[in-house]
Amino acid sequence: MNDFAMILAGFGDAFTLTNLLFVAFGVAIGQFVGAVPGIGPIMAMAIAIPFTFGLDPLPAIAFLIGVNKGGLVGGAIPAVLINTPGTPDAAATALDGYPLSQQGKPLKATKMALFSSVTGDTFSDIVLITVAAPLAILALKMGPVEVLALILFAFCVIVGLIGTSFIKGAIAAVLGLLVATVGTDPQNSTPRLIFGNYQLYDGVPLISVAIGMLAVSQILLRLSSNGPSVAPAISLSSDQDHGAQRVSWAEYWSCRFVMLRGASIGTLLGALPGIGSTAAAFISYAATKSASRTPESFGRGNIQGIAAAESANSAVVGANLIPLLTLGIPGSVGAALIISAFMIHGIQPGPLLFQDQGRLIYGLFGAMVMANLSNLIIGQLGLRFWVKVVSAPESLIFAAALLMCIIGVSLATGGLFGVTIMFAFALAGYVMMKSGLSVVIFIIAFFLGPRLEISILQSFVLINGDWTQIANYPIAVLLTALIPIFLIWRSVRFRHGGTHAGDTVTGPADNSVPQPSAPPETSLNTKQDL
Amino acid sequence: MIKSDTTTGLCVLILGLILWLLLIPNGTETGDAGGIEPDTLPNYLAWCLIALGAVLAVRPTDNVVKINGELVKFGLFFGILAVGLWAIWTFGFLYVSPFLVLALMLATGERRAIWLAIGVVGITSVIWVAVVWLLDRALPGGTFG
Repeated sequence: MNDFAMILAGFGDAFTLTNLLFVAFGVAIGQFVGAVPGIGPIMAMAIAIPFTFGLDPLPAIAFLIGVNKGGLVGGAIPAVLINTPGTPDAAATALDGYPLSQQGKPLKATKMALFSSVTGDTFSDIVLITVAAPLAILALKMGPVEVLALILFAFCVIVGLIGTSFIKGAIAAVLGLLVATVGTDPQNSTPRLIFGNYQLYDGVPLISVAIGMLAVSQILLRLSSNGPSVAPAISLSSDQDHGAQRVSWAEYWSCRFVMLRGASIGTLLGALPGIGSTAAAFISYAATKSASRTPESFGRGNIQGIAAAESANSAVVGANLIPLLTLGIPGSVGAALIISAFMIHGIQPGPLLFQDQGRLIYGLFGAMVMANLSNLIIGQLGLRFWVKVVSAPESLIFAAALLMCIIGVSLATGGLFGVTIMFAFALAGYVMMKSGLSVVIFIIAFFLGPRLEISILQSFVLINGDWTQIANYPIAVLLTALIPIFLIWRSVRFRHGGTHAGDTVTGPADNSVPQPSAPPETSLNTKQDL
Repeated sequence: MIKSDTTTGLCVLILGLILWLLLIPNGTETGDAGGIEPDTLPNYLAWCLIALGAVLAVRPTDNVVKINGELVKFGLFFGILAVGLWAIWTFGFLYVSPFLVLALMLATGERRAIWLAIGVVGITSVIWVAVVWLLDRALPGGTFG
């Protein structure tokens, strides 16, 4: 599909000075926002998307990837230092990171988190680069009927694995699909559910929904659920001896199998839609603990615990792009935001991407590799700096974030109507979160809604309105048959286990913004469930 | 504390009914291209909402909603943002931004003059530099802005 020259050209594009600077800038921003409890890389990505309009596609998307990757490293900083995960993914890191920090080795714990995060991330990027193109070739053989079956199966998996209740997940998905029908009917081009608002002809603005639900509602939730939060977020003492500040090669090498296992788990789970990085971190942690000769040392500052959690949660980021780039299906909110960035820059994600935009995709792969290197360098150099920067009071940080949301959406939608929509969805997001309805499922359904409807229309034409004709499409039959099998498996697991692993561990991630006090108790319960 | 899923289920059910009986018939037109009508998918989704809402109301999970001061605080912050949006629409972003930042920081509990000053001057300046100077775009202007 792609010749070697194009692959080289793509990687060459990634290594221009401009792109490298954007990647490094994205990583720096990501580490910063990841380190601030309550912001997180998802919110930062949502806010940053409108500001990438003026950029070429490669630096814009590479910047967002940098934010995402940097955020995972940054999230470990407050988890280790004050037992408050900056991102939900880092909750498992806190299990051993915080005790190690309490033993007077906060820098060692943070650096171990950094090294294992970069290791896991690089592993999954290599898998992505290796398998994405062959998978895309397979995906190209799929027609509208198969795509329809695939989307329905993906919905089923996402609804089944995210959240605590299948019914509530289904409600969130249906609500997202309903909002996606607002605009113009794809077959007849007649206005639908816009009630005279001509600004809605093109549908509800993607960016207003994403920022309203992922950023504004989360900030308001955080501000309203906490007391006045004007204190600095974290602090770091400087009276540590040299040995406590560094991770030796021997210590790193002793964790190689742990990191390999964590990276494999993260990559496998990341490639499946609906299972978040928080799940990967806890599953890897539990697997490492059960395989250890000294399981009693876990939870007391064992660096293998940090390595297990961080290598797994970081490996999810690269693997998340596998269904996105090969099928156009976002498996997480981070991937959904990246898909929106693709679309904003006029690029349609999916199997044709490798054929039409191969050079861009390999440029993106190059940027991902560079982002890992930047993560390592900036993380090493900037640790103490991030601690100082994030010591700014939350009152300032959240006020700035809200103003950035307003201005970002205003720029993206060309006026304040989009901001009004954003506030409406912020309110809806708050109500949904309070009701236990998954905002993540809603947004993924909203993203996939138009594609689902077009697939239905095309399939309807292909099979002449006779749905029994689907029997002529074996892949579609197989995917459709998998739906009831998955549902039965899901309900059996739910009945026998009380709660499903995905329920418990993706719970915090579902809120996209870290729950500041994501308590160790929660983590322990999660491990027991596993 | 109330067990919220019954209420949520009923609300979803009512929303589905409103969509099916009121909003979709009045918000869609009849297509002339054959195939699937414009209101087909929305109607199916509305029926799904009705069914799922009914199931949730009958078989609620253990989710509970804590009704306490949080709702008041949320209302306060949302109110500040809503008034801020109206003010931006009327006067323009540049004139409203410092006051909006000040209101948000005060509502958060910030009372230190230095941080308030940094917020009021710093955030507005950074946004101006980023949007007007770096991106070469205009900030939202109001009717009187």
